[in-house]
Amino acid sequence: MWESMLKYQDLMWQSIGETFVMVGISILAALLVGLPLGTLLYFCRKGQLYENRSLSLTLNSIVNVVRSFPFLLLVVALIPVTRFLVGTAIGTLASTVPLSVVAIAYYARLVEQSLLEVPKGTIEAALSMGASKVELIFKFLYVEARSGLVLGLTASTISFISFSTVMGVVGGGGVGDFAIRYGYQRFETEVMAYAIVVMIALVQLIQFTGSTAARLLDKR
Amino acid sequence: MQPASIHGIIGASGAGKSTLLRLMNLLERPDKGTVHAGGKELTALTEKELRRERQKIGMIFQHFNLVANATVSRNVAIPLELARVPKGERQKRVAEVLEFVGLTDKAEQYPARLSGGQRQRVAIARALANSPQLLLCDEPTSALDPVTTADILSVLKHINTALGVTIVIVTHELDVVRSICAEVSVMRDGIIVDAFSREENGFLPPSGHSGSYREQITGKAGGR
Repeated sequence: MWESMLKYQDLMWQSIGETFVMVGISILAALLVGLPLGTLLYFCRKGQLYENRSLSLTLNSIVNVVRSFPFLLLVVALIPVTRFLVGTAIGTLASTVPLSVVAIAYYARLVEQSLLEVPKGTIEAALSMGASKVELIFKFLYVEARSGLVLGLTASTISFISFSTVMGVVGGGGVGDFAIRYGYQRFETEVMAYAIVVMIALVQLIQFTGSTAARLLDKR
Repeated sequence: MQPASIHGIIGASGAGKSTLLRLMNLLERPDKGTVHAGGKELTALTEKELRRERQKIGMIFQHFNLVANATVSRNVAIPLELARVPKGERQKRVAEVLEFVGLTDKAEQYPARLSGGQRQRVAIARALANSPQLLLCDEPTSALDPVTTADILSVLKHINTALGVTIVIVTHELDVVRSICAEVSVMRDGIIVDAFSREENGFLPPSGHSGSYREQITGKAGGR
């Protein structure tokens, strides 16, 4: 394995870089769109503060549809959208479009779950103090749910890495694509093993960081 | 309700005590009728005006409802932030109310490290931060042991006498009413069925929730 590691060192670094771009942009999308969407999902649920049946139904269907799509088909189905947004449907940057769509839906659901764990009493206390909606969200909900939100993002990130491995079909590159093209398709089993070891290390590192951060943030 | 007095609302579970209390700051909206507090008709206010009025009405709860991921001083600072009190003044006020409830040394602790009685004191400090004229208490001692209950009640009594704050206490414990309330309303099935005051009727003394368990149970001192 050492031999192939040396031989493909440059390619491996490039692949890791591509994975980072794809996963990094997905995380950004999850935070910037998934977090607000999840919060909205939470608020308009039955029995919650801004209960809204039709909005709840609509958002839930969208999130479920995105999440139930076989990912490869979602990539294909989104090609026109990707072309419109990025200008091309091929390459690492183009790959971030379907990945971000999944990331948003995925994280939104986890955000909703974390917020549901905040005691109702905390919300009541916030309202009794005269908190506005925005204050309720940022000074109470996100503060109480913060370790769940971090754990959710950690789990999501690991899923995004997994999703990113199939982006080779649209020339997205990344570690997974490298493993398939050089390891599997060229029968270099060692290269495949090498790539898998890199992925395992990456996932372990992310999980460790996320779990530690969540533990430190949790004062409950 | 008399201003600057302590008013108890007592009744069995499900009698509507908490609902009545929640109507007073409109956490619960009446299907019909109006709610007046502090000389304003709350039911006629816009949402923004209502939030400002709520800042002037303190509220404490059976389960304290503190922000568990925030320190004691942070918890007390939140209502001041909501009321847009500038930072320097905020810190001063936090120190002031924490001293009032006797928790100055716990300021940087998280609620999980405190006892039930201390948590309720934090909640009281939080409710007092914006110097309310009215303090609503929803079963404030129901999750506490008898000694701690007596302790919290004396804090409430002190708030009433020292600061002139009107206090409304919802409770199902007779002793709470006997020890600190000046007036009582009795509720059953969502209706106030009886109301009377200490002045006119005289209340029995509470059955002595202080001292050792032996004293509380046997009425005699002794043991360890």
